[in-house]
Amino acid sequence: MFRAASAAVRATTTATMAVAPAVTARVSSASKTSATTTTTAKATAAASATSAMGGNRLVAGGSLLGSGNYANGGNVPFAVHMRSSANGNASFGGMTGQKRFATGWATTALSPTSPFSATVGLDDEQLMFYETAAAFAAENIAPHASKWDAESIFPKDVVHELGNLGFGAMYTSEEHGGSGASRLDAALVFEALSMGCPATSAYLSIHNMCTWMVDSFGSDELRAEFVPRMATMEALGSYCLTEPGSGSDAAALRTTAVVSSTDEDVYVLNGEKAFISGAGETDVYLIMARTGSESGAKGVSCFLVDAESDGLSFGGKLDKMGWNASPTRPVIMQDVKVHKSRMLGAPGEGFKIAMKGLDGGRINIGACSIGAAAASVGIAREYVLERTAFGKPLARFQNTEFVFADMAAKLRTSRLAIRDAAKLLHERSPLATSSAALAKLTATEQCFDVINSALQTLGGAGYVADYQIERYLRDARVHSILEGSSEIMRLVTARAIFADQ
Amino acid sequence: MAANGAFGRVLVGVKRVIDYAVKVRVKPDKSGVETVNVKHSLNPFCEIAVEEAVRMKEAGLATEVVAVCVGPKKAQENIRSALAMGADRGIHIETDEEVAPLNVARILAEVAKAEEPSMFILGKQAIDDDSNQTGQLLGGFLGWPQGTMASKIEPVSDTAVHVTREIDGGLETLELSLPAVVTADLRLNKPRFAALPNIMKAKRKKIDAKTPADFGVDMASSLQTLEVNEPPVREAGIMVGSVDELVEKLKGDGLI
Repeated sequence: MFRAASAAVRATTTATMAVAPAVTARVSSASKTSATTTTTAKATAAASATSAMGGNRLVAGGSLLGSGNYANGGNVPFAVHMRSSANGNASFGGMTGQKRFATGWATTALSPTSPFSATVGLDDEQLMFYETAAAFAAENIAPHASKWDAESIFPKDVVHELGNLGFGAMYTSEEHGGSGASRLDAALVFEALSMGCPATSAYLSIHNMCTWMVDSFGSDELRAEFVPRMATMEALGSYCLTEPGSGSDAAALRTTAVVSSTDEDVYVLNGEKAFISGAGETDVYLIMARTGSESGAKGVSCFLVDAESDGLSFGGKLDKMGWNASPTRPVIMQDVKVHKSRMLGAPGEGFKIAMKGLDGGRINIGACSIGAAAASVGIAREYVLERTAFGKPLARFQNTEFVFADMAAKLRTSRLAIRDAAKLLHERSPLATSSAALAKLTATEQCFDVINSALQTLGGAGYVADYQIERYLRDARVHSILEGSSEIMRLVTARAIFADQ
Repeated sequence: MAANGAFGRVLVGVKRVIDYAVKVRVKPDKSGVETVNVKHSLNPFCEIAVEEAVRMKEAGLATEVVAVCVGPKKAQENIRSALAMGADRGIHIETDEEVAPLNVARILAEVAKAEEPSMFILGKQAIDDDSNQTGQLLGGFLGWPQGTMASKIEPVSDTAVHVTREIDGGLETLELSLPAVVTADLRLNKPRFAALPNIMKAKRKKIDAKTPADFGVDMASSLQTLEVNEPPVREAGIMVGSVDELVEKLKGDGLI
């Protein structure tokens, strides 16, 4: 159910009105591509356009005809280009690089005959999940993703809308408002949304993980209190395991939860968590803390902590390479009091709960990598079909063909690994954990390579923000680090291989 | 204003079309466009029609929304989309023949006679053939009033609606007594995204399978397509230096 047609016509209408100041076409006579627009480029482009025209020439028809187009004479005025795309034809000459290539990823991923297809093999319902998420991403995420990245904006309004569509608790049971869908359904959604913005989709996956943990391990009262609000994304979640002193060695965490001397029903938390997504702007924190005297995993319990708790504070927002649409901060606990009813599961079960959450999280992060790669290859494919060098489109060179074939092989393999792991997890297969691990290992690393390759095919344009691929690359880089680094994924997989010996 | 449930059953016509974003190719034999292995979707104007009907149900005006589709077997997935948006059940008239307005309107008229809705809402046109005929033909076959190119539908009483139409001269408002045919234009509403739980409910909703023969309609078209061609390649325009020169050129080309 791809709603883009009305979006396209609406987009055409609004874009025509917005076009006057914003559009410039830095087009050489050889190619018709690279009509780009950025708000910062407005001033400089207008200046260069008027100077190219030899001064302040008033263009016939007024400002509606993008002045930049006249800088290379012979080019059809912008307004006419817009009309030609209004009839539904995929001739987007003149549209911004972002809008135009945004269609590239949509058509590539949805084409039934492309090796890049995201939808072949899905049943009708799965197809609807994917297409709904892809349509939502095209309309509500893709147009803003660059801005969110550039200005480090956490798109809470969009996140809440996702909650309204039931994307907040996809594989959580329906009892308290979850959608009761499968792990695969969720992976498809994260994949599709990531084509718009991997950072937003990844945050959504973290939230889904938290909601599932509360629903699966919380007491009935706790579930009734929190799951409904989390399912609609009225209350947003953060997952707090990593500390300054322990990432991969998660069981060595040092945050303590000591029974209060004044009230035996209350634990007092002290410690610090690092690199927490959403921290400072979310409402519910799932914090793994040491309750027992044992070191290692056995002494850890999982607590649900309210953002408003006394003693809970947050460090400065980190300036990161990517994932700028989700804020990352340390979480600081100074004598934070938490009632024992807020513990998920029993004392000492926290580590196990955390790892169970991550099994799903790993599949979801892998899915986010796939979406980012899918968008990148879609953009790159459109580009190489248009861009010419040495007398023909880049796509006609064997090197380009081979590069795309390799990207397709990696992308399809990643997709299959992640979707298979999702099915195994849903079936509670004994292979679930190691499958999730090797699927994350595969998908995050292969898809990063795919995005990097796609970037290279764009040449200089690949390095430019307008073409989006560099943003997907920066976002995808962290996927082989968090929720279990590639190195840990190898440990987990190897452990399953040599289990009995 | 209309009483609760006054509009009863509302039928919505939906069509499976090539997705708007697909780069359409003409078949080598020029008999039509390539449709095999090409992404298809619910026609955007039909989506708007479904949305309007579902909103009527949510407002308590309608009690049931039925999605009706004439199309190939695969159209079932598009009917499911309508169900996911909130339609209650579907009717699928399955045919592999060319789906053209005249025969579709004949079938839909029979469906309407059987289902007795207060309103039959269709998209104003399909984005594959851009006919803009089915709704009008349907109204004619049924002898029902019609409000086409609707940008607004307002209930006036239990048995009448005001339909605002976008026409060349501006906006025209008609009062239609029910039952009526309405066709949806772009600005009627913004269709919803199907929420996940509704997508899952959709597979449990009923779709009745029928054939054109069940309605006594022969799908053979009375129109024969002679040839389909790609539009001519756009040529570069000519830069003119002044308005006078523009006028001269237009006169020279016999355009004014």
